[in-house]
Amino acid sequence: MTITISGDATANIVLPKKRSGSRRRRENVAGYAFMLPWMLGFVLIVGGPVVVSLYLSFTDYSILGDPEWIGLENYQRMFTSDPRFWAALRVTFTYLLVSVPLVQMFALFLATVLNRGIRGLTVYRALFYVPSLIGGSVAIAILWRFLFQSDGLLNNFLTAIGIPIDYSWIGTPSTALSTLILLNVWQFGAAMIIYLAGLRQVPTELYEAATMDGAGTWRKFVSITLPMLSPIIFFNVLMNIVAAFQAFNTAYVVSNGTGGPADSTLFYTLYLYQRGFVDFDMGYASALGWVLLIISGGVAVLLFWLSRRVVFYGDE
Amino acid sequence: MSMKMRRTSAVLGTIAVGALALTACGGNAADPAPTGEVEGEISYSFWGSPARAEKVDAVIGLFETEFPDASVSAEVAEYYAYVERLTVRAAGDDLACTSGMQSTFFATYADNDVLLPLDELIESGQIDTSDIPDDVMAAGQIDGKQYMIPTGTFVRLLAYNEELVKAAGADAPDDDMTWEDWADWLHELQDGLPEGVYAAENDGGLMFTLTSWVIGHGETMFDDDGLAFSKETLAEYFQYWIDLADDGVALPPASIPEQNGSLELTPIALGKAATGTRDIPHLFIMEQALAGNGQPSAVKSVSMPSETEASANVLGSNGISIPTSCDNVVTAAAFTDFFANDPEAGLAFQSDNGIVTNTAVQDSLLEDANTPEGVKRNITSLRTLTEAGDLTTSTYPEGLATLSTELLRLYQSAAFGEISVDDAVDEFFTSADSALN
Repeated sequence: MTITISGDATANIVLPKKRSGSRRRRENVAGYAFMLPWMLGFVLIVGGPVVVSLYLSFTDYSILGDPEWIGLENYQRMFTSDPRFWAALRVTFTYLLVSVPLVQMFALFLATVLNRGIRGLTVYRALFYVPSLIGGSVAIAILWRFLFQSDGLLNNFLTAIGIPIDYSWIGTPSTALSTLILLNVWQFGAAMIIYLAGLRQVPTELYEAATMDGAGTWRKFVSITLPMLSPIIFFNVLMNIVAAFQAFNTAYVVSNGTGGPADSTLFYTLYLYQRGFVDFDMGYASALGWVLLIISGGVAVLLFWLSRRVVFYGDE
Repeated sequence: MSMKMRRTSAVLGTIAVGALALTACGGNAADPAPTGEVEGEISYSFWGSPARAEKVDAVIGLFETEFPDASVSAEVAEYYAYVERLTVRAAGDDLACTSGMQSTFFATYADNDVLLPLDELIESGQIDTSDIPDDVMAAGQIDGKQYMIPTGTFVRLLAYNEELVKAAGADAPDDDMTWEDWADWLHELQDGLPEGVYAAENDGGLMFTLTSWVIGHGETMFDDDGLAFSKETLAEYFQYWIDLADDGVALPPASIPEQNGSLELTPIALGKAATGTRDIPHLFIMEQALAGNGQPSAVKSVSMPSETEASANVLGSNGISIPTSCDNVVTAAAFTDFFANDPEAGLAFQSDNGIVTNTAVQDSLLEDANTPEGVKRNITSLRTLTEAGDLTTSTYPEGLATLSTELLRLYQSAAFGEISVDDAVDEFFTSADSALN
């Protein structure tokens, strides 16, 4: 619909000509043709394997033989007699529940600081963002390993300042996961940039009015910044949770693909990978994949349900 | 269900069935001993470094000169990536006509009819194995059938840093130790070592050392039913390494991730441990690494400890297999034969992946002035062990990779006190039941 304003200031609504049926069909065909590459890719590369994996999850399939239908046996084994499944869930949820809030707090804190218009803002912003770009890489995971092993950079530094220590942070079950959480927190830059953009959108009038009402910095943060940022916090939390469920590279490299020591870094995806591509138990790995999908989907649904109560959209 | 949904389901079902059919279709099993001209194109896949790839290219060049109607394309990958890809390729009937295999994992493919038994090709003379010792050939056999031609071999031994041992005032270890003798010797050695240097690496979670332990205790690792040794043997093994670590003689379990890195970064190579278990070809690499770290020393070896008269020096092998899906078996057999036997090819390859198994090629390498000193030493060591009959082999069933991961995990769990040794052993046997059956 187009609206033209006539010279005598009378609004004159000019409707476009109704398109003929054949032209509409041609446009539809063109539209579908443009979508076809994506649809083919989705069906063949994503959708097809997803459906096949659902079937395989009910089979005993070692890749080299034919899949053998075993019904719910894989799922039954997973929940009743596989302690490593529970270990993988425990590690993944610990990682998620500790690292996601830390990333949000750290990112929001620094975004708030940077939003005060300090000098060299663009330089700081770029510096803080760099770890997000490289943090998930294999190279950084290897660096992390050298940083936290018994003769790594951290221990060398501590020794140099008079605290001699011979302790392998990545080789001890009680601290191995913490090093991976730290690596994830170090990649706060992406969330920080989004928070920074969100902070710029908060109307300054709100702060001015609050100041006139005598509100302090903390009160303004709690009563204005957090509610106004809540859609962005929700987005960041959701993205971080999804990423936490998918975390793989760092644990794989740091633990040599074992999830060790003693399963302390056995992320769910790493366990799935081990069952699929080390043990070649593809049926069981497929079942693990579907359970992960259900768990992460359930967490997402829970978050969306919670968001109705805690996320404030400006137009409400 | 609506018509639309039903149609969508039908499409997805067709795709799923199609995908399954593609992976499930068996290979066109080739004639066991086909005859014909050596011609056409085949591939040779193997693992290794760019330096090894250059040597393979040289061998291929020689082969193509000998057989001008045949050509070989080389496919190389890093070891772990290669092993992972192998199964995926096997599932798609996409294995190279000549595929690099190892005694530790070829059973997975042989048991699933992916590999061609090579006995007919050997009998027909298309693959000559007369210069490869029988005990080495055994490393490529399952149930009496030859599925892999061993081209390079490795033997697990006790390695020690000669300079560290001398500096500690300890006598060199000898070839006739029991495990208890070795523990006593390590304690004596530890007393003379500088602070921060351990007498031994920690092999508590290492499958190859467990294999030597089991064989050295007069038992067998695997039989047709799965694990063939007793729970007590494994419990003693775990406890042995836990005690050594608790005594400060072996590296603490927390250092195991650092021990399992690349060879040049292992504790022996860095001078942080005086002894450990190593394959013969790795001794020279240790020496080079130590020299590079400013701690030059010879790295010598002695036989693995044993409680019986039987040798616990376990021999493994790298080799070449031909998959059942290969459509040019004649040329694949010719290339395998050439790789294993041709003296010029042997000189070009320089025993790069394990000690060359062909004794005639060994002679050529020993006589050639261009052969690196380390290679000559490796060959001499292997010959000494072979002549003394101080070698043994072990079968490695399908599922070994799973068991190796489990062994490490459960040893660590016990060593860190998270579970008892007995529970760790029970869990290992339960896992083995699942992995091996």
